[in-house]
Amino acid sequence: MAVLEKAAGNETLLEVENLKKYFLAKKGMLSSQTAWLKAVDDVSFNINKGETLGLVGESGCGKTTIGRTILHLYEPTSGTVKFKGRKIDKHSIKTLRRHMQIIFQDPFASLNPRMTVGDIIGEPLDIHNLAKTKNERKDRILALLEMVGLNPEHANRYPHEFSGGQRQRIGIARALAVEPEFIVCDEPISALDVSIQAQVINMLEDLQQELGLTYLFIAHDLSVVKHISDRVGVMYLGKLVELSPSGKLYKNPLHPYTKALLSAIPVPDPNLSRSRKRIILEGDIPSPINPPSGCRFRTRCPHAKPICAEAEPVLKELEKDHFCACHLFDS
Amino acid sequence: MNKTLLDIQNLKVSFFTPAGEVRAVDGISYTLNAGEVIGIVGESGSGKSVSSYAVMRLIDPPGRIKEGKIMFNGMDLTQADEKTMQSIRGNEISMIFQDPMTSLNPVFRVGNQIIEAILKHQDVSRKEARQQAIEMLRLVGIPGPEKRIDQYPHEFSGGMRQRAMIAMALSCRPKLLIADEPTTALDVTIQAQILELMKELKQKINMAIILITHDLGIISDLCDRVIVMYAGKIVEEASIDDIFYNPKHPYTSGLLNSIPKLDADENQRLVPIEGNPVDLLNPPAGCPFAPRCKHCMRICLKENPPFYRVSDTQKAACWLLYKDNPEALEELGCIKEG
Amino acid sequence: MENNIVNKVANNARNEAEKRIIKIDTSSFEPVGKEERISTISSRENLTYWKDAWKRLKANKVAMISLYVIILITILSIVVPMVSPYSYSQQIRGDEFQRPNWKHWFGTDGLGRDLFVRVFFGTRISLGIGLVVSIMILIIGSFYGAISGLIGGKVDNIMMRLVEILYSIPVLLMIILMMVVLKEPLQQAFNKSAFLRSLSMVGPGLISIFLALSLFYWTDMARIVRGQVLSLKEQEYVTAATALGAGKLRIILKHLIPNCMGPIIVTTTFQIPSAIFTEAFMSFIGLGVDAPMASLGSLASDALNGIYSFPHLLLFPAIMISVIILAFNLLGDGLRDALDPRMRK
Ligand SMILES: Nc1ncnc2c1ncn2[C@@H]1O[C@H](COP(=O)(O)OP(=O)(O)O)[C@@H](O)[C@H]1O
Ligand SMILES: Nc1ncnc2c1ncn2[C@@H]1O[C@H](COP(=O)(O)OP(=O)(O)O)[C@@H](O)[C@H]1O
Ligand code: SF4
Ligand SMILES: [Mg+2]
Ligand SMILES: [Mg+2]
Repeated sequence: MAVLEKAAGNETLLEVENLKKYFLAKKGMLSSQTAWLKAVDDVSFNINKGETLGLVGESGCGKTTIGRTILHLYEPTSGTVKFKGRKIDKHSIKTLRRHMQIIFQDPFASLNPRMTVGDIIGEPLDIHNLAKTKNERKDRILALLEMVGLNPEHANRYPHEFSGGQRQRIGIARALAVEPEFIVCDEPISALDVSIQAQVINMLEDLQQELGLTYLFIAHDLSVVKHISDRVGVMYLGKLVELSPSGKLYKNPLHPYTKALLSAIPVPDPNLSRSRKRIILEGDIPSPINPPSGCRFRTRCPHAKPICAEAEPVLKELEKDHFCACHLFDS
Repeated sequence: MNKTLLDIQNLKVSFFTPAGEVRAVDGISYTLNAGEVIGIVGESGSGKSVSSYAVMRLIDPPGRIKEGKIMFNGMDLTQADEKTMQSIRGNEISMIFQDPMTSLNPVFRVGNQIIEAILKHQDVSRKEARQQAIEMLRLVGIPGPEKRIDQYPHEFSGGMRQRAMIAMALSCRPKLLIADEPTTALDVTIQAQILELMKELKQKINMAIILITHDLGIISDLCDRVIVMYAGKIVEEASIDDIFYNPKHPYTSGLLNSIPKLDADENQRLVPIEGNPVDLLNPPAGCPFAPRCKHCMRICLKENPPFYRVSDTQKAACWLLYKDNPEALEELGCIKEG
Repeated sequence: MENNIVNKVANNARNEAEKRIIKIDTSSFEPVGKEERISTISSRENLTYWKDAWKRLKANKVAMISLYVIILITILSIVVPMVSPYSYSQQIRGDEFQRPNWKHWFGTDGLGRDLFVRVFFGTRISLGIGLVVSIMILIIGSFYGAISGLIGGKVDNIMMRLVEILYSIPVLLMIILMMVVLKEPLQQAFNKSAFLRSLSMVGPGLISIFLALSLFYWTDMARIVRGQVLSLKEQEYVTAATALGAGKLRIILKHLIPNCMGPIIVTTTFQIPSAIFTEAFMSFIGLGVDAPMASLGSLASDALNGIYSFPHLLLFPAIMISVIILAFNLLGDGLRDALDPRMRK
């Protein structure tokens, strides 16, 4: 897509072009008929080296699917993903796995309960033969543990002995073991307690500085995404509806959905909550099996016009680096 | 107006697990006035749910209410028999849960579940009950309640289910509603709808609410007063303005500092609370927060701090407050010796 | 600030009960460093899955008694034939058809063979069959199930149809058929090859029992493992391993199988008695081990000849079969409770 030209001077690390991922799904809970569930439907964006691109949206809008399709954990239905200009496919991914990693949401499901922490972190080393000797392997594991703020004696313990925050650190250490350049962070803090979230966010920021990492940071919590991201993409029902530098997005949201999303966050400030006028969206998110025609947001949009039901709005650069897909801005 | 509805005194609830006694709720006391909305915050496992399940007497073995009184409308619920409790549950005290799918029975029509609840506690005919149920569904903002009432829970979306749960909970006009993380499983835009609904209902129906959540934003939106829990204990209790603008306990201020704010400057670093949550099987000897507290002092490691009354609307349990004002303890009934 | 205070209130203004002295002096308010603060958290011993399961199993009396019974019977079945003055095939002239007495504790059969030795020898064979068969089932079933579940899609469909076909065949009939068909070629093979001849000690009957049982009884195991794998492979740690570049074999061996060990062990425990039972039934209808070799089933079968005059010949092997099968089933129940992940916190 021409409109998504990379920002001047920045080196593009990852290019996502017209990515689609459809799943075959049952039509209803009791029905045996199947239909295509358009989890991600024609999404394009770039990620520059060293930046953090945030991805927000409500559950089921396709954030996880994008992250996993980029890593080729799901085969894309169509569209391409390029890493450093190289197309990711069945063959290239074998060598690219070392450069692209993922951190998961659920600190309990993402660690094998029957493996010690040392073996969990050591597994990538074994797979890619990154440690020549036993001692080297041990040293690497201890260095990784230290990097994420855990103690050497933790290596011999099992995951269930750790709290959620510590487990998330173990997951991060495992991802870092292959020395990746790019990490998909799939809601890495959503399952953690507020007091622990900040620890993990700070650690991710420090690691990015230290190791020059690039993040795709997925979350449903906008305040967290705003804090950590350089740019933010807002998704709705498999579509990217707005993409902008994070400061701009919060000061001047363009898409009605982004506005509603921003105003829906409860703020921890009683005076502000009392004075604030909220945009309350009507209704529920439609099913991605049978999305509304035209603009997918139109069924809940307070500003919907007749055209919204007819034509699908395209993502356009309305201000510098600020993209939005909405008919309100048709000239 | 300011009639005390609920008065919890030194409530202790423990779970006797094979690994040892878990003091899930360890001596908490608070009062709730009729029509008041109180919020309980704290990290997961701090005893928020257990403390309110105790009010409903819904603690199953290996758990047990060890000590304390729960005075509801002048009656001690810890002493009440099961039959009395059944007439109170759903009638005078109702509860809504985090996951509406697990609390609505999937094999019965939504309407029937509400009608049953009404019939159980009110002396009305089935027809009247049905009419009331439709009214309740309308009240909680379910469109076309006449049709919806005959549908099954799976035909409702997540937000609708939570509305139906609320309708069921409110069907007998309880004096007290306990809402245990009512929006945690919902999306932000749906959460906003439910919060708006609860605000409206709060105005329409004069009922007291205990709102349990881990989200300080929701607290600030809805509550009059806040209780902050840590490791089974109340560490601070205050009006919402005090909690947000003048927190006294290091855990409360730590929580506030660790959440990113939408209006903050970019690249402002967060200030996390270091360390890990308490292992309740193995709690610290003194102040439960001591191992994670930046201000920790020698006494904190040994003795649990008593409550210090900061003002009429605020009290906190922290030795720092004593340090600043040693006289304060007398006020709380402590006697100085020597 | 040197004073003691009596804190009537432990943590709240109303509780009059707790009255204790809190010593406060100048050092009380000295700040404490991070290291010291953290050192106050004592970590408790955390049990691994297996230790935890063992603890739970130990608490289950019935299961533990069953386990001891199984161990005892196993030991006896090894030791008794070794130390007994008689061998299982030794025919003692003049001692035919004896009732239990001090010389022959369980009596003797019509050929004058000591029943005590024969019962424990039979137990040895029966247990051996149960063990070997369930190990075969374990290997075939868990790999088949894991592969089917992990690959999924068409492959899974075909593999599972095959299981269903095997399942729908009347197993006993097939086993009988196989044993009849296999017996001759096996006998011939023994005669030809020197290596196989060493196996002939075991006898072609026994080997065809092994083969037949293993070939038909693994389907349950395969189904159970497949079901487990289907849910396990959606787990994020499996996705994580894939994202790290792990191959299918590694995922099966390191991630899937270790995590369905619980159900595998439980299924195996239930397989053993069912194999023993089937073998007993085979031998009972005359298709099992070849004389003079004895299994519990063949002992019971032999006893039929004189059932009215010498009921003890049937009684002892029958009791043994019942005890073994009951013990394994009770142990299996206990294991299921102990290993069931849903019971874990
Ligand atoms: N493996 C799958 N098979 C079928 N449908 C899926 C699968 N993964 C995700 N989906 C569906 O795709 C949609 C997007 O899911 P997901 O990417 O997980 O959303 P998010 O991460 O934004 O919550 C959802 O409707 C979900 O049900
Ligand atoms: N059935 C139970 N058995 C053992 N411990 C329990 C049980 N239910 C709750 N607990 C313990 O009680 C503590 C408080 O739980 P809960 O009130 O649910 O926390 P919260 O609602 O604040 O997240 C937890 O640490 C938990 O371990
Ligand atoms: S009592 Fe001590 S450790 Fe506890 S919060 Fe106050 S200063 Fe921190
Ligand atoms: Mg997701
Ligand atoms: Mg809870």
